[in-house]
Amino acid sequence: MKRFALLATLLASAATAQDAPPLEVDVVGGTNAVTAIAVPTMPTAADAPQGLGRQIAGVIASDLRSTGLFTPLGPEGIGTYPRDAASAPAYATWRSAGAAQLVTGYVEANGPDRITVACYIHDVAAGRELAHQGFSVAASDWRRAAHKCADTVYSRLSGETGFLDTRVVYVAETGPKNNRTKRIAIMDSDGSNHRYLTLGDATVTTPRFSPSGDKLVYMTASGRRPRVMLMDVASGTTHSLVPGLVLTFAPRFSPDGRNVVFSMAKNGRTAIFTIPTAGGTPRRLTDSVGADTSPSYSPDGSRIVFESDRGGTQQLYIMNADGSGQRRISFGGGRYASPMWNPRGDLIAFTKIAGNFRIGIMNASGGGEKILTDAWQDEEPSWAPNGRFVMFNRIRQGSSGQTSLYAVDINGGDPRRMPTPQDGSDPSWSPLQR
Amino acid sequence: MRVDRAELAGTGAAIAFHAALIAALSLSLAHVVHPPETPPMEVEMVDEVGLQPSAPSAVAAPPPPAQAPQEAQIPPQPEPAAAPLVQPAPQPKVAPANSLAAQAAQLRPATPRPVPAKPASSRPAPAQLRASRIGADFLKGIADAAPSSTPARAAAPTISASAMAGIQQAIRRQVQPCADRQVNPGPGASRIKVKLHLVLDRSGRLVSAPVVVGTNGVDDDNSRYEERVKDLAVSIISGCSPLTGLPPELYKPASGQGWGNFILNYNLP
Repeated sequence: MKRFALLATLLASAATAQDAPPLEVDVVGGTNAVTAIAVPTMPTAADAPQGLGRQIAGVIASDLRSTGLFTPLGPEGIGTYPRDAASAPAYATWRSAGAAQLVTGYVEANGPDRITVACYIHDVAAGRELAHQGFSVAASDWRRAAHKCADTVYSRLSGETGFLDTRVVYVAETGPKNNRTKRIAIMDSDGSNHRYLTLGDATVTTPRFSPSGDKLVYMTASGRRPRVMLMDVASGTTHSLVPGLVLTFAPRFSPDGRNVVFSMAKNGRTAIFTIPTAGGTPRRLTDSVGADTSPSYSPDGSRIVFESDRGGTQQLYIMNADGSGQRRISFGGGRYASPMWNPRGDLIAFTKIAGNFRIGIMNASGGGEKILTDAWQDEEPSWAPNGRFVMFNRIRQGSSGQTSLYAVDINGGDPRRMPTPQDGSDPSWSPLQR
Repeated sequence: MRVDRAELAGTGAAIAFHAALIAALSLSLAHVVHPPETPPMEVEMVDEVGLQPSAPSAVAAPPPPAQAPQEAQIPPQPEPAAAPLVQPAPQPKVAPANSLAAQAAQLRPATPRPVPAKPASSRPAPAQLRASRIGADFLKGIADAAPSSTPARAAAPTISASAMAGIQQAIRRQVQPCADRQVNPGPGASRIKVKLHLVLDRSGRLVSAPVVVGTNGVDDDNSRYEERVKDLAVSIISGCSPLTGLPPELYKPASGQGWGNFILNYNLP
């Protein structure tokens, strides 16, 4: 009887169980709209260059707008705040201003000609800080600090790695269509700090950054003989990478920076070779009846994608880094050119020629083709270091060959024009700066 | 010493009398009438225990005709004057076949007669009673436990399915505008589902910061968005609290499924 009594008690207890699963509420919601983010002027300490807080906030706002994910509020038209409020802002005020997110910070001196820029990211709706970071830079490099802050914001709010503190090299073109002057130019990804790296006395194409961002390889065609050149960006010194009188072009670094893969035309045939960056003897990777060119390494360095007309039309092929296992991966109709493997290793960007020239992406093993642009002539894609954006050059129909740089989000959206002081082509995005 | 005839006769008679007395007593003792054993108490195990007291109620209506004795062909007799307060009801046929009532029914026509109604009970028929609905392993682990002398818990408010659905709808209605404002960080992020544990006070305000207790749907393609989707989930409830208009009696019912402590499952569309 005692056992039955115990059972009854237990059953009664079970009925009033406190360990019953808690109430669950399912909520589904979201939008693909841009995020309103307030970027007010950062307070600047008295010992730092005055006005810098406003300029830094302006660069951050411009960077965030360029991602296509944000609509910045400020720094023009909205007030600033005291330094203490950088870490503890009045969320209600920003909420009423219509901001969903908020970037705050401050600028102060950090020794002779150096500054510290503090950067805070806040979720206004949740009323909490999401992240903060400080950057100590030379006062003259204040834009770098602003780009770093923008990358921190972008990365924290998008989940992607940053790409705003980067540079772009491209071919700057001036002059009439039949007599263009082409120079290699370099600039920050927002168009600032623009300068030329070559004089324009020889035609140049396809400048490409090294993985560390301190060197370039490119093709120059002085004296009607195209050659692959290697340049140190800081000093501007150059030298020919491949000895002899052979025709070399379409160079690109290996992921470890120790080799350069390129095309060489010899005896009427064009094949792909590699050569150590430090110099040496080129090693042949392909030997087909067609022209093999535009090679690009996978990020792990194990494979190479290239274009070839060995089958009768320009198509994309991949092979192992030693040249073995060559196979075609493009089957979508039309011609394919200028492939580039993305930094994540899962996608390949290319130019598709089927009537117009368009920029597309496909899976690294082929298939899954997606066309990103739809204009008259878009070509020469180059990946951003985070693999989310592709930069390319566009020639508008009826524009007499005027070419401009654009970047497009591979997830969709309209391409945005990159600011260049003159026509530009053949862009290459640098790795994220350290 | 000489024993006379009279003494012998008397002694013999005494012996015979005692022998007869002993025999009579022995026979009497062997015939002990045992009182009938009381039938064993039936204990019924039920798996539905309501928090509401369920007092027995009398059956006022007669049972369905199918339950009437088949032999009851004779018209019912007039009710006796001393009828009980409760309407009489014929004995249901579900009585055990070996019961006295069943035996009596077999011996004579079952004439409906006033019988005080038994308290209605939800317990099943005896045949069902013997099939215990408690698993054989129910007592595992408690064999050595001492019987509790703690009185049974007092009846507490319950939360019905409809009330629970009402709370869910009320919460969803209030947080949906905040959910709709969250920006999708990228493709594949909508596969991530965040489970958020929330503790509110009676005014609907967060007692503590929301805690992410789990995510699922994260894979190689969308893992970079996981932290961001967690942020979005936290932002939803932070931005739309306090929750208002929720029934105070269901803040923390005994069932543990009140709105004071609940799970928010969030994902992007």
